[in-house]
Amino acid sequence: MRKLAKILWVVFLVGVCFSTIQEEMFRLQTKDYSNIHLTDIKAEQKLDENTIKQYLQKTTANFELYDYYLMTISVENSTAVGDYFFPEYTVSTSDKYSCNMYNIDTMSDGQLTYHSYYLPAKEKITLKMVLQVPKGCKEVMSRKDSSVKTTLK
Amino acid sequence: MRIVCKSCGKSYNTDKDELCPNCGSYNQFDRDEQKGSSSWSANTNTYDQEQDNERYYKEKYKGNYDNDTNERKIHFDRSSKSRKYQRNQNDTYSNNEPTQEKKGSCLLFLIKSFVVLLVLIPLLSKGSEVAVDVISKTLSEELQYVEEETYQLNQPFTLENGATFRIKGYERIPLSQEIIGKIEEEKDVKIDKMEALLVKMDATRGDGPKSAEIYLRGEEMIYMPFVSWEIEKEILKGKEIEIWSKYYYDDREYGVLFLVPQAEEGKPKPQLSLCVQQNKDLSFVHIKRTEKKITVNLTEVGE
Repeated sequence: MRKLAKILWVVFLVGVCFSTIQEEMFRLQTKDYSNIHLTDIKAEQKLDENTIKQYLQKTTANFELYDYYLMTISVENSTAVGDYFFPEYTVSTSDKYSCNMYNIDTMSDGQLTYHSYYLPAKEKITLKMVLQVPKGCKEVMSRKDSSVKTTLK
Repeated sequence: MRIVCKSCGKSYNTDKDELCPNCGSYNQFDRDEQKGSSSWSANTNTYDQEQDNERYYKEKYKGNYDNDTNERKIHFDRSSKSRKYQRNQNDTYSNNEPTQEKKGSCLLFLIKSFVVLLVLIPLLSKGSEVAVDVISKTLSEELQYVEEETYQLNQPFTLENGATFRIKGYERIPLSQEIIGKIEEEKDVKIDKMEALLVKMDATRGDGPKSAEIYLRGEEMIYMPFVSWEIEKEILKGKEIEIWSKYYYDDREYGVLFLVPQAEEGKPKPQLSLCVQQNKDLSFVHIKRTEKKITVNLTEVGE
């Protein structure tokens, strides 16, 4: 009986040690080693109900609650690991409200996708997007780096 | 000191041997006297008791006792007997009061377990956390660097896995409305003013584990190879060229197909470069690290 208790205790200890190490290994494996960030953001033009149609055809705009801007953003991957860039929630307002970035529906310079762009290691791209912000918002900034910002006119 | 054996009557010297050299009997003698006097007189009062003792030892340690009267051996046996006796006594004691010892042992076990849980596990957790932090920091620093090389058109280059490439140039292929419709349907995107661009190259297959990845770099955009077996076939109809794949390729001429914006008339053609990456799988962190990037500035074939 004592022998069995000892065996169970050792098995329990080994299990606890293994799960502790496994947890840390999981943290190592799931860490984001790529660093894709905005390097520049510029508001080109404020869009109204007529002009927005040439950029967004699939998305329904709500001008009662939001303002829409045509933006140019530059994105860079500064690491040796290729990864995807998801533009939707990359900018926020100074009040930390999240803003939506919409890909322009007509793909004239994209990678045939609306959701993400693949950025190989050490590459940089420039994209045109439509930004949706709460009405009256005057400034947006990068979520990762607040020094990358622009005034909305 | 000389004494006479009470068993066989032989006279012997106890300085040389404490047992009778003739019969092996033990005869009691006064050790204090042994130091001072050479004469001996038997203690008649204890004679019978001595005889009994002697008989007991003879029976108990027969082999040792009969043999060369080796008292050390007898002492050893006596001591082992005594240890055995003590052990038996302890067993008897423990059998008499089992619960107390078991309780103590159980308590000790619980204390030990508690200490191990309180000390060993947090130590292990902290240790592995620090180790992982060091590894990920080192890895992050390592992942900042990519070796970059530039080659000219028709200049061959080799990757570490032995794969060789020679980029020849590109050819623009206009897309018919029918093909555009198919692409829009398959990829669920609306395409406007785009055309296909076929980069031609000679390539040989490497054997190593490192893989190659190809993409096109425009002025402000990265174009990944267009992958659609059916649409590729439509676009390349009438052209004797095989589409390059990173998974399998023979030594022959290949093409890599991209969809790019149409070149506008009257405007200078945008600068395009083909990039070939040499990647290495870091399987323990599930990432593909780019070790080397080779860039070839492209011009149209025949230009």
